[in-house]
Amino acid sequence: MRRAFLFVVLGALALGACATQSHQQIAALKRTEVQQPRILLMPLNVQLSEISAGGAMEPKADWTSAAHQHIVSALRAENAKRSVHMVEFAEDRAPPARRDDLVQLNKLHGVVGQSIMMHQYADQLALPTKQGKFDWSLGPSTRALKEVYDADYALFVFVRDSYASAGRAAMIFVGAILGVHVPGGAQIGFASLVDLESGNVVWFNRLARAAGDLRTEQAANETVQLLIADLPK
Amino acid sequence: MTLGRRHFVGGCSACAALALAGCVTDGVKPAPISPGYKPNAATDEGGIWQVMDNVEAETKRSRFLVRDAELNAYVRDIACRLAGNHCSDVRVYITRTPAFNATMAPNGMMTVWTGLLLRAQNEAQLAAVLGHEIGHYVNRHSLQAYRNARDTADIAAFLSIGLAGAGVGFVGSMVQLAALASIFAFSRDQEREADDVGLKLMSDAGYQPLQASKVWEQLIAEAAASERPRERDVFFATHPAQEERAATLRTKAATLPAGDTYEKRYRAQLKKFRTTLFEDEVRLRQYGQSLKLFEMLGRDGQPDAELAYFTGEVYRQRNADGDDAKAREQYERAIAMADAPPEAYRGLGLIHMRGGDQVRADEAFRQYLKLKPDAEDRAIIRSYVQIRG
Repeated sequence: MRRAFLFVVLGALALGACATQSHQQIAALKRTEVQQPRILLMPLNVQLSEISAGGAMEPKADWTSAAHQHIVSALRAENAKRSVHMVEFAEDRAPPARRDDLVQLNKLHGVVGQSIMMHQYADQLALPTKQGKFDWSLGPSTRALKEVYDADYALFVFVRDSYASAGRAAMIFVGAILGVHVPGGAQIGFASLVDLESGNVVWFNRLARAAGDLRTEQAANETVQLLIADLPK
Repeated sequence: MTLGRRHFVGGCSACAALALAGCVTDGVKPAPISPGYKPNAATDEGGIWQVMDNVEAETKRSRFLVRDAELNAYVRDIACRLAGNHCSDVRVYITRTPAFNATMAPNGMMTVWTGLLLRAQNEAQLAAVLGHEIGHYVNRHSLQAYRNARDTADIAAFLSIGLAGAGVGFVGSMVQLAALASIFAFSRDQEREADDVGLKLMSDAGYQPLQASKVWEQLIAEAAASERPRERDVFFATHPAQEERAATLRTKAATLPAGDTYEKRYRAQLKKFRTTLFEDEVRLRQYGQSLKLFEMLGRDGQPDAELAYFTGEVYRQRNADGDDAKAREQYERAIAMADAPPEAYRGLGLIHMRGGDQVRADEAFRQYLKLKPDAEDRAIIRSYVQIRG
């Protein structure tokens, strides 16, 4: 329910503005002469769907699996270019007793990210207590991730990418003739970087546009570039 | 989807006429699933399976998953006997959810709620529910419901866009409501089909088919005793028209072999979980429903100290006129049995305390602490005794 609302609001408010807009608490990653910053890539939360004529979102397994691969390889390449060491989340890396806690942290990261996407970007939905500040945090329990993965930061990527079906495209066309706006596909999501020592969300970028394509490698690379273009180096 | 597109070509006034004439819910029924089946990832079914695979991964990790190996093996074996050739396609997860239900996802993930284990009076009743769920799986009901919903939404959108253009926007929402209603009408047919399959599967596996109708009859009795309006009940929201289904199942069962209930085996398997199941039920604070359920569980008249104790707990917590006397009677009945839970003394003490009988309250509390010296609530119970010296 809330998520549906989020997308409606974002769709209405965001698609007109620029495709991405970021917030940050730090200017650069912690980096020493001898050690590259280590970023833990959390499990991607990415789902691709086809919009039926009536607006039903149909999850697409093949597109989603392809998008996962494209995004991970684009992130891997980009981080290598930036001299950042990227570690990938793997549930069985943690001792069994700690696995659930780490998965819960991943979920928390997702929920906080969605809250930021909702409340940090639209004046109408701004939280009075924040007074415009960007000071979100997951809290220091993120140190558990730091210990298990020996990482400084965690990067979380969330994308909902939808494409108009043939029927939907026809609807958009007829809608235009009749003067009724029918929304088509959209690419909505965020990337969020958390400092695992403090749990603070040190950088956050929102993506919202009616363009892009995660189904093919090249276009997915463009989306990833857009998502992490101003990620602190 | 294809239906929507084809009608679209004819123009929206045509599809409005067609839809209102009742062509909408004519969803194409997918063929029954074959053993070992995996859908193509590029199809709508593949998309649904992938989403459900993610849900299953979450379920495996859940803190509410009952992981006891013996109980899991027991329930899995029952599901397997019912599923036959589909045995290796069905994966059973017992979840600690204190309500009557079991679910079956299109990818073969079956969840069995602990509230069902408490309510089923024998193995045949559990098998009736699992067989019903396997019926949903084998006939790919989720896929059918999904396609139907999607296609109905398509038609509704075509209608509302056509009508919005014609300046009668509010009719659009009426049409959407009608489209929504058709989704539920459809699922009632699926429930009937699942009932038929379930009954056959349980009978073929040697269970007493009459137990299927007993399950629904028990549920109807329980729901009738509920203080909550029926439409807010999680189960009845998805399983309407129980009375009719119970009657149909009873009639059909009469034509099948008598079969066995396997009640002894079931009770033995559930024994060590029963306390937790009762505790979870009592915590729901659905007094009328719980009392009815406990009454049905004690129908055989066998001495059951645990059942008496938990019935006392419900009366004590409800605390309506006359409940204290009923609670006391239940606690005393429990205490008279050899295997009385120590907590029955605690309950009795609380009832005496509420009634102002401090001497008897102290006596009961002392007995509780004597029988369970390391009870988690020993400090507060001790304080009840000590305050009054």
